[in-house]
Amino acid sequence: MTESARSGWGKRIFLRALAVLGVTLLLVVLLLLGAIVIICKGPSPTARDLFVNTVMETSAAKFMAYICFSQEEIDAIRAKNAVVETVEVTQQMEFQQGEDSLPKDTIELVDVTGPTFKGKMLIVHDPSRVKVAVAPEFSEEASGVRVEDFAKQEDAVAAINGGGFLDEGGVGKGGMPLGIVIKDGQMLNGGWDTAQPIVGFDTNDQLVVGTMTGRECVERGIRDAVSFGPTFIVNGKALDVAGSGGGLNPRTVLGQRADGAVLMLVIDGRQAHSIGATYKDCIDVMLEYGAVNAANLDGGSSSMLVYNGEVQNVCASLYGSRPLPTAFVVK
Amino acid sequence: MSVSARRSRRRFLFGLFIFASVLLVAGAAVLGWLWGELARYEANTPESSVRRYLDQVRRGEWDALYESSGFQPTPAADREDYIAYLQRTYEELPEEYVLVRVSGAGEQTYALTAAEREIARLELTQAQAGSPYRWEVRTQVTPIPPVEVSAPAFVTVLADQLVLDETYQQNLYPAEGYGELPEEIQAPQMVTYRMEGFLAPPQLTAQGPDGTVCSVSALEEKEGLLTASVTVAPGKEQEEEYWILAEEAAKTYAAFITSDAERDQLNAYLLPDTNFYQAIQEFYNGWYIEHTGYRYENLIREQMTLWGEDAFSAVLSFDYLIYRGYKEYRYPSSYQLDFVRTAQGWKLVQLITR
Repeated sequence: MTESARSGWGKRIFLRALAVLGVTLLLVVLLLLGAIVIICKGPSPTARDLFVNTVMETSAAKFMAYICFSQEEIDAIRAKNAVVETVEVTQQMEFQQGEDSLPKDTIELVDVTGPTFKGKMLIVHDPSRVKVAVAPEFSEEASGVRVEDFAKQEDAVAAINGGGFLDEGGVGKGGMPLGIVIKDGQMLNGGWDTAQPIVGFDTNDQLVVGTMTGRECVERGIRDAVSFGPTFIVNGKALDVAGSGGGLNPRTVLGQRADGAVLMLVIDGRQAHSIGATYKDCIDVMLEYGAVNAANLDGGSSSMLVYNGEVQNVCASLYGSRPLPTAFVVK
Repeated sequence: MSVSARRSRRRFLFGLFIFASVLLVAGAAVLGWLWGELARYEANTPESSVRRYLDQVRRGEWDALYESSGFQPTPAADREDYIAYLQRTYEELPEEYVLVRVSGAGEQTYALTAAEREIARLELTQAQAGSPYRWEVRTQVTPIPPVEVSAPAFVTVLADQLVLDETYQQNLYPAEGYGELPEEIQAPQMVTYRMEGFLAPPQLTAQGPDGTVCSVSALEEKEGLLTASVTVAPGKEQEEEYWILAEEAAKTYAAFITSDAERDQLNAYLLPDTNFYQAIQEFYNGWYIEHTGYRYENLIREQMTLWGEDAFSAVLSFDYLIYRGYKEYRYPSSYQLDFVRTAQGWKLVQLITR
């Protein structure tokens, strides 16, 4: 075989491999598109709503919803699947120690499972140990701190992610929190008179959830808090949920039982072993564990639980945990 | 291009075509499987179960809905009442609605809402083995508040044709005004009946002894109860007799106050050993100014009520006129007179100025 014939043969093989690859890719894309169309326009409106809510809660996959729906249709679907808002805020109450209450220094780590999710529940029996940890600086340019590093930085036994942050296009540096941040009674971020859904502890170590202004937080004696929502359970009453109440995604939820024990729930999502949980699932889990107050924290690839120096969940992002401006730590 | 090269290319393209076809078929099979799984998933969601339930409602399959409801009939609400309840609840069932999961008695409870109005609450429970679907749906039945009816003890009260007997008796007490009679006189009794579990306000009726006329007031919401009362009026002949007696007694009373009738004249109407009787005996009417005459005008018979076969009340009014020389003084007077029958005939227990 001459040199030119060999080169022509090699080129042909390359082109043919490229053709096979191209056809395969084309068909895979067609298959994915077909699957999206079937989910969106197929026989299951419930699956459609779940899909739209799931992708719309992500930073990067929102475009999938727009393949089949207009903005108005998406808004309508999201409105039909949400936690019904409330103006109620946690009322002050005395902790009620039951016969089965464990010693205050106990921390339990429990596996939590549901039809579409797996997660971990950390039960901290002493609520005074739960504090907010913050990044060294709050600014758009500054980088946040990973939950594992928050635990090290605060010399904490455990840590979970906290409130929301500025995340333009899903590539934010995690240094700028959104809404109210209060640490040790000092308001570090957020407006005095702008109402925000807050999740935090007052000086009686009671978990306070609901929508409050910064001024109301200070007047109420909130010692540590971040802004996020929706609120799930207030004063023992679970909020009403329309439809699925959100999509299937990784979730972090903070709650408190009547005996004061703090419930830290982190659910894995966007993975084969755990697709994720809806808001409705989260409410059910928190009720099952006896929460009388509970609210949603930042989820998605922010959801992280560190306990005894080890990450207990599987981060949704292949790049690992995200730098964040706030976290709840257990001292 | 050589013949062999062309042949090779054709073979490749044919192979690629077969490969693409196989992938296409496999992809179509995956999409078909996905469609089937989604359909199966949808059929077992609470939303879908509710949709099927509401379809049954729209088709008017009331018997099937009743059978699957697990509803336990009671004397206050039977099968027909349950079906009527469903028909009322879903009278204006829109095509577009929102399901909101709420706290409730079922394994899952949903509020069915449309245009921000709650139409019904639906309870979902896990279907029994053998059911093709995961959830069973039933409408949460909310009975109306308890119904309380007060009636004279001598009449029979019916709620939706159900006779209210001792089972429903809540309270037995003397009729108002007859609470402090002498021992030998039996006070007319009133009964309060209480019933729970009605799905709609019941039709209340009452039956008294022959000749009497019973009427039931409209149900009224009061402190978490629906209350009504039964009043009984005598028959025509009896009524006339009673009115004459009441008018005479009332006129004698008015005349006694102005010293135009003797105490004994009034005492003839009164039941001794009552507070009213005692008050009249202690009343001094000598203070009334001298006058030349008196008269009654504009007598109106307002209301006659039977409390029992031996007790009645009459409400009447008239203008009592006093003359002093050419001057006329007009006193509009309205009285309630409560009578009881004794061995000595009808006697006035009390007279209340209204």
